[in-house]
Amino acid sequence: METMQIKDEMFYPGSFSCPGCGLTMAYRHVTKVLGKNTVVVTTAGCGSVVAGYYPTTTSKLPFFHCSFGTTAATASGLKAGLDMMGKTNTHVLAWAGDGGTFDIGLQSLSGAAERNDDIIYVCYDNEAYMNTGVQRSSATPLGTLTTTTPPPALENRDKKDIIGIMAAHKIPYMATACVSYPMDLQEKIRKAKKTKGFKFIHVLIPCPTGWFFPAKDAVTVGRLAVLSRAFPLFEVIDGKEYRMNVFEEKIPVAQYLTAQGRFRQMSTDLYPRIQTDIDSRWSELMALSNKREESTS
Amino acid sequence: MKKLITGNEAAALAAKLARPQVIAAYPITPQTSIGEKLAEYTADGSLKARYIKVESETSAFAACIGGSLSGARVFTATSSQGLALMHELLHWASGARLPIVLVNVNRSMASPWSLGVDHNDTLSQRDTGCLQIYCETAQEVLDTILIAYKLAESVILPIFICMDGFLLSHYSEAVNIPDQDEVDLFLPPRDAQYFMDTNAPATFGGGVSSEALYQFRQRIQADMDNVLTEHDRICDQFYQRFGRRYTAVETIKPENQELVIITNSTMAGTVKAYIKEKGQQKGVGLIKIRFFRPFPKEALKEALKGFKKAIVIDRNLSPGSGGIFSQEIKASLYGSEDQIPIVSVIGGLGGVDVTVDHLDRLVCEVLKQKKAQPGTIWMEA
Amino acid sequence: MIEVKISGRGGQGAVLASQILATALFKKGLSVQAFPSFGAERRGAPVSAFMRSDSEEITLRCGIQHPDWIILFDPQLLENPLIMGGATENTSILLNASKDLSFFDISGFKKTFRVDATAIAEGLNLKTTSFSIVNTAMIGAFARASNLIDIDAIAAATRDLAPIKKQENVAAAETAYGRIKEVLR
Repeated sequence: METMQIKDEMFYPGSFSCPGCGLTMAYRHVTKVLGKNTVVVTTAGCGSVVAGYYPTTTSKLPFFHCSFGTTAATASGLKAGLDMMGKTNTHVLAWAGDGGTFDIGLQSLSGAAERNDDIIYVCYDNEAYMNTGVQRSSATPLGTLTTTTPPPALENRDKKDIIGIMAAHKIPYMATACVSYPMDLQEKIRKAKKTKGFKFIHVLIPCPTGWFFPAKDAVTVGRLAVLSRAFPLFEVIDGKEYRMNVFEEKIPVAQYLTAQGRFRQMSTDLYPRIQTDIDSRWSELMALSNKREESTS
Repeated sequence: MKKLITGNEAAALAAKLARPQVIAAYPITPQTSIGEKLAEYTADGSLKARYIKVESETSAFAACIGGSLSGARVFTATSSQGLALMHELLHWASGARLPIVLVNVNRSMASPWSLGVDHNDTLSQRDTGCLQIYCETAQEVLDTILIAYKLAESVILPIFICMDGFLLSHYSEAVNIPDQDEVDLFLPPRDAQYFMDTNAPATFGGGVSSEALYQFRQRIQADMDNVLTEHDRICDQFYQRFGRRYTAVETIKPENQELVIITNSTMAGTVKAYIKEKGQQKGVGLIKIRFFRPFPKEALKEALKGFKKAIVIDRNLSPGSGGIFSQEIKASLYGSEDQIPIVSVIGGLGGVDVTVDHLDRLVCEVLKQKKAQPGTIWMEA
Repeated sequence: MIEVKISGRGGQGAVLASQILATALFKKGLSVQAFPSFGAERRGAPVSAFMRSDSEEITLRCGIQHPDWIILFDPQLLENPLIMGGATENTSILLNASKDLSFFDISGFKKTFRVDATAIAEGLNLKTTSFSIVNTAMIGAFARASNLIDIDAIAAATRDLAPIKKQENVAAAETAYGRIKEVLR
């Protein structure tokens, strides 16, 4: 893996993010790799707040705030326009949260993916509507406490399988990543940058504010998500070729769940079921990847 | 070159002549054949544009926003529910100051659904900050689209060119098609002042303070106030090159000005036929309102001078209020010195036919009345 | 102003017929409008197309309520009130019919003409799996019946607009022009 240090930051300091925000870290790594010849479209969400208020901005790249749910379509139009203006080498980054991707943005995402429009779509997933004060989204995992899933009515459905949905579109490149593994994230963005067509990168970004853990623990909590396999890291090429990031260390999911306040209301009786689901999902993914092992550390 | 083509073909041809670089559209009756024609032009290479075949009207307009942000010229067309689906994006585009040109083939709003024409679809978008022009003939559609690009790119706001479903979109009629060279001279490529430029990065459309939002709205109003002057200037250029003149308001004044019918779109054509056949002798004139946003108040006042009575025929309905043009006209005249009685009439909703005979019966009825009938008269259907 | 209604079954080419007629008149310098009946398209359902022409500019924008002419591709449509509702004693009709018209009430029209367009079309192999394509024959016959336009203009417009089998379609129009008969009562 290339571990080149990129000095050019595309993100000014002093953003409006909460302390310990995974999103800002992810955005930094993504835009660093993409470089100056990039334009960004984002939609309502933490990302649009972090971007700053007029007349200030945190973005060193041309940046457009589009309407909620239209990130992919706006990016498609922007790419088409840039191509027609002769700027065929400019990258278009669509940057949207889980609500803007899994929920309200799913239709336009599906449209752009199906057309294989040449854009890099990054979903920063903090597993709820955090910007509006922690309401559940279809990315919210089972047993989560949010303001719209108050006890005893905690989230009772599993997280939507967005990767399965996107793989069904047979796009040339997609990957999951976690901000706690920045070099892996950078490498995946680098691959996306080199690939023509629709790219989808699903990045888990731990959220101290909505997941209820101390701001200093953001990177640690992300690592627990990956090592517990609650959020496996892998790539899918052309919707069929799965490549897993396999880590030697494996921890029980309980360790991930208990590190966050959002799962504290959930009965520990559910832990075995969650562990079983995670294990079977992992087996499925390993089978899909034909045991192709790409070790990352 | 004069050819027999439909209103939709005229719209597609005009779009082609304007050389948009990004097109995004979704099929809906009665707009569909515009999208089909443009697909043909981009497929055979006669139009060098990227045609994004989106999965909804929301995405169609979002893609236009994206395309326009690159500095490119963009085009879309829709109708009825499709326009309603774009609603949020219309606000977005005017706020982002993007000169997107949209052709709307007017069709009534569901439910229940009908394919027939009325103007509730576009009039529901009254406050989105998009300019609105209503056309009567296929020639006017073609010419207005060319004028619209120049106007939108000058005032930096989105614009609708509205045409009646079926009564215009599907009528084959004679249209003078200008040469591409002439159009290129009239309408050079878009020269965007603000766009997504990696050499001059900027952030667009983000969060602002209340005060900043207030100022941005004032800017839109100020630029809207300039639209009609700019339109006249562009129409002068158009007239000099193509020999056809368009104004915000078109007027027919008979010698004896007893009554004027104020209306828009194809309804104005039927009124013209009525005036020629029967209305002239009765002192009936016409004011055809082309612009709805901005509303041409001054031109309207000027056109009304000399008439004793007015009938406003609205092919739309604001339930609980009445005809929308009627409200706008009455509001425009409020406080002016020589106010005349105005009769508000609803007609032709859902594409119901309005004929010369219908108009004659209406005029005879109104001429008999000493005072303007209050409320709304519904034309026979 | 002349107003013509052309009625047939969805798929029989009534819309193209209205356009051929309008194109021929337009090329003669007349003002014209051609338009279909409005609505969703259904194969086999009764459909109409319309044509207006005048020496002066036509500004009228509404359906044709009382046509001067009704052209019927299928004589069964004589019994359809949606098709025939607007006919008056000033309306003339042109029917696609073989000799026997005794089944139909053809009284009350200004003039009645008939031509066996089906036989002409089939003779020229103008048909699809479901229909004979009689539109060009009917328009050729109409030229003669109405005296509105000469057959050469119809032939030229047919050559321009027929999507396939241009020669056969022109031949159909010309043959029908020669075979049309007025039905006298």
